[in-house]
Amino acid sequence: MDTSSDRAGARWATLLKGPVAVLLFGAAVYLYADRSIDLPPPGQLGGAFWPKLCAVGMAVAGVLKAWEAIRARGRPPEEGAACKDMDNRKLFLMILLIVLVVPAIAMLGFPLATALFIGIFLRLAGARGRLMLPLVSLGGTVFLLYLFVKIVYLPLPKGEWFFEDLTLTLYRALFIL
Amino acid sequence: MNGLELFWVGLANAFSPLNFLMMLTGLVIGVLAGALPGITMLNAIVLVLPFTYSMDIVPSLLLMTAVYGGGIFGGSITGILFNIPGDPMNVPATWEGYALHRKGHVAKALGVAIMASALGGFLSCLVMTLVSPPFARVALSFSATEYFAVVFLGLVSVVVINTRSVASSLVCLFLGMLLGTIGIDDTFGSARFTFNSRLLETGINFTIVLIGLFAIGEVLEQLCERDKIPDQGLKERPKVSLMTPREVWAFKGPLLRGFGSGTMIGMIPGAGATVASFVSYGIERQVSRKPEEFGKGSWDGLNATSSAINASTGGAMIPLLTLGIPGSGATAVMMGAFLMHGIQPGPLLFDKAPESVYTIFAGMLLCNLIMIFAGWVCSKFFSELMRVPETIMGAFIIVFCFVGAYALRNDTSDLWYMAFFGVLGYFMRRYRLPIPPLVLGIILGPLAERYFLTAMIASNNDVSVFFTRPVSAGILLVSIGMLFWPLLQARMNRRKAAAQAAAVAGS
Repeated sequence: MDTSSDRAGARWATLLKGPVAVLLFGAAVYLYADRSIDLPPPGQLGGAFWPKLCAVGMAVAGVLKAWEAIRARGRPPEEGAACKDMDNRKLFLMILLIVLVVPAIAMLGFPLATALFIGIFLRLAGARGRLMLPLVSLGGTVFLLYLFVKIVYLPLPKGEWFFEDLTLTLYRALFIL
Repeated sequence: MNGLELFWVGLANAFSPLNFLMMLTGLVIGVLAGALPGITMLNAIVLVLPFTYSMDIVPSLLLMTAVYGGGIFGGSITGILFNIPGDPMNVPATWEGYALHRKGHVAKALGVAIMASALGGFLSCLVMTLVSPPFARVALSFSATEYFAVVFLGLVSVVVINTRSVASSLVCLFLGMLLGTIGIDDTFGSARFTFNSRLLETGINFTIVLIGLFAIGEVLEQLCERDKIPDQGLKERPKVSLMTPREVWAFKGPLLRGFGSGTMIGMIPGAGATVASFVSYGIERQVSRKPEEFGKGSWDGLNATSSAINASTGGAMIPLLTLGIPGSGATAVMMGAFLMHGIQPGPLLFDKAPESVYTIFAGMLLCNLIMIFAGWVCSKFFSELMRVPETIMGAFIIVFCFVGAYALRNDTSDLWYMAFFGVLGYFMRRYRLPIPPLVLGIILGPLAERYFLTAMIASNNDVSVFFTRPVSAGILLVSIGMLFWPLLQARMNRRKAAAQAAAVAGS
């Protein structure tokens, strides 16, 4: 059965979970820095001093955060304090795409990975149109290639294995090389 | 020839076709490079360096100083339009400028940023022309203790930046400072939080953190919000509305304070425009009559920080020209240009080539005036980008961010940092954790550590060294005052409210 003391405990846990996590993180970083970083030369502060100082600062900030949370309990939330209503499926897929494009750039090369990224991203973001998606993704990629490879001489990743040859062929076809 | 005669000769030289063309070209390159996320003003100065090999020193220097001034200002354009600061120094201008944009004042915000930057830069160049030798002597006497005090002042400003939650700001600030310690330590050579990873050994470049936190987080938030009301501001074709003389006069306080702090901090080697921008913003927040507007679109904040960033350019040139000491990355590249031409900058330069020195002075003054025109044209060009649909813009912003992150070291492993900080930036927004203190911590934390440890080594770990040197003691006292001012202000407000309540009850 739910008692008033249980409810009070749950309220405190909700209120203090963030500050306690910060406090524990600060303590963990302090201990890790103390054990993992080389000992200082005699009479000097050493490389561990500054991270330990930051960890202490973080733990103190956690205590301050707890104090702030306790003082603010019962007050109405500030204007605009509520989280925005987000499309979590779209958000998850976009984050996944942003993470996946990193190995894709290294493996497929910048041109192919970018064209694919722009096309899929636009589709996820809600852009429609049979012509618009390939036009923007391919046209945009060609524009970026001219800007960064031809004008700024930035050696963008060409990809690996077959994809490197493909990128070089594309550069030749576009008179970039 | 006396100083005034030399100045007129310099002005006439600055108007020669080649010199004038170099200034114009440099400003356009600078503004565009500063505005593109991931391409910094410093990158642009380095990129134009090879083009100066075949030129004389004066047009070379004018080209580079124009890129410098334009690049410093340029980052404010994308900050105001898209909430993406081109450089760390444009972060405070982004806070206020983008908030003003959201309120529908984009044209005026761009105009204020242009005018304040140009005025701050112009006045600081005037100071550089008139009083460079004595100011440079002051900067020369600074040691690590004074540098630490200045950086500490920048860190303290985090407390006054976020009025919603000081504790949240401190959590993010210390997290940023901890992230700044990752990698091989500069002073003692110890590996810190590297977990035997090559990726972590080189440390985290703050530019990547900055681009990820600000740009990707913003794009995700914009595109994934459910039932979003179309943003009318993004569909408009805004004009750039420059400040009228009356408006300039109305904002004389923030402009002059920004110019003063920017010039002073610009003169201190290592401090630069980023520290100037944060410090001037913090000072303005303290003295403003409308402190509650800061972070929500403050004209005072935008004026002060825009004035300060460009005022730091004149300040940073003083130790370079008079003492041969580069005060920032940009001036270090310019020193390289001097040396490439077989000229040693320093006091002797004023005897050997006074006309060249005064041409540079006059050229820099002119650059700041031309910047109003260049900034106006480039801002209008960037404003056109706002007519592109948000989805397309979002996709290209993310690609630009990846290119910017990759271009720093031509290393695809940096893209992982980019993705990580992009996602972190989104979640910090979602859970209302302030991003600016984290950015401030990661930029200023390593500088604070370096100067603190250097001062400690020099003084045998005697902390009192920070309070026995008058300049550092003064700056630290100001910092401590800034730290406790919000508490004192709240206490005074409570007392005032209690006294008013008692008076009402008595009557």
